Amino acid sequence: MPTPEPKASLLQGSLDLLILRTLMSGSHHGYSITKHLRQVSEEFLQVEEGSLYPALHRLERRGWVDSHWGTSESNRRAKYYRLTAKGRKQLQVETAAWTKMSQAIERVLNHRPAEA
Amino acid sequence: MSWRQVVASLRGRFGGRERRSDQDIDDELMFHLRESLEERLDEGHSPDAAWSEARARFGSLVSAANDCRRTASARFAHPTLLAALLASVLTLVLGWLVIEVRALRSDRLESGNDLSGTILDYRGAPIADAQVLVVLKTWPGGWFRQDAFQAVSDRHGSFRLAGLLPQSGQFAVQLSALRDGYAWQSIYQLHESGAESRFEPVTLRLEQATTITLSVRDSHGRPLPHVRLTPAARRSRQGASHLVYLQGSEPVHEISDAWGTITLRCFEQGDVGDIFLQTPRGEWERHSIAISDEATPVVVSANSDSEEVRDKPTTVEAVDRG
Repeated sequence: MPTPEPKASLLQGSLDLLILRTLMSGSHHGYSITKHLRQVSEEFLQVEEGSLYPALHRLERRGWVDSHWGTSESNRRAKYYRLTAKGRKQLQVETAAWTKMSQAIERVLNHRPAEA
Repeated sequence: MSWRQVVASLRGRFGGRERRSDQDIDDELMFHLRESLEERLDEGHSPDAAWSEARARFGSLVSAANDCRRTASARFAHPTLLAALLASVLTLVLGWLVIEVRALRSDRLESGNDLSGTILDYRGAPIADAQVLVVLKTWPGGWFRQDAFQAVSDRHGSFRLAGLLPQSGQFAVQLSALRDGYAWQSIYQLHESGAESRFEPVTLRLEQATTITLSVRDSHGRPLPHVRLTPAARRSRQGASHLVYLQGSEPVHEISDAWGTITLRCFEQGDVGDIFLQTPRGEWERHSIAISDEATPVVVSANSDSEEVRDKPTTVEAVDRG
């Protein structure tokens, strides 16, 4: 029986990738990242919003993003995140890894066993 | 001061940083929930349903906060004296860099694009002497900065802030237009990095405002004279939201008279409004006021918007409407 561990780590890796990719367009606060993911994925990606923040803090700790406090469009104090140079490199690495993995999965799904 | 005292002092500084970090995490998560709540309200949910939906989407608040704290505490764990000294040196270097970047930014502003527009009334006639408050957010060299600018419309209702906008990079503009007797409006535009830095001239049509008189009182019901106040937000009956940032709002500040009253002519009937109020201690509080034509006064207690309110020494009472 498969353990839940691989699925959890896959999801975590995907979330990091999605956050880094979202921050490519500039600084965003957490809520704006959530909205962006929802809108761009046409409501398909339903990230549990609370899980975004530990991920953001982890990315910040790794030096892939940095943060600052500013005023949001709703006139409230908000924490904005920005991609660092290290984060840009990491995004390239993660994107390449994701592309390879999705291609591999696609190959498996499209595989036709040779007829006997 | 002995080296032990120095270490204790530095540990105190780092401890303070941890406490600030805790508060920042709380503030960050609460900001998210408030934004989510307002989005659900905008979608037409009842307040209870909106709150339930926002909480359900968020998941476990405690778990998210604890996970963030674990990450933060790992970051701040066991600061050494050397690390503290390095941090101090880095702070000085970064401070110098910020000054340099700001100087660079000032140079760039001189060769930027214009921000211009026209302020009209509801009949399409130009409004002269409207206060145009602009807050420009930029990220020069990755640093965030936020600057306030101001213009006044001429007799044609036109205004211009020459060279204000960066020619490249990410920036955002918050623009509010206010004129006594008209319901103020604002716009917010974000220009993503890499997008063409073009800002079309702004045209705002301001509706006629209703008149409200506020009575500002302390917790004992006594009038508070000479209290400074500025509009913060208004949500119209049609659902449009408009904001005034506290930063740069000085030109539209109102001050209560000897009886603690302030007359405002900048909200439209049916609005739900927010105001910033400066207490005698100098702190700014945010209060909600409902702009309706009901005869009974609307009393808003200071803790009605607890996010920005740190204390509750005042009561704002709408006592008269015209």
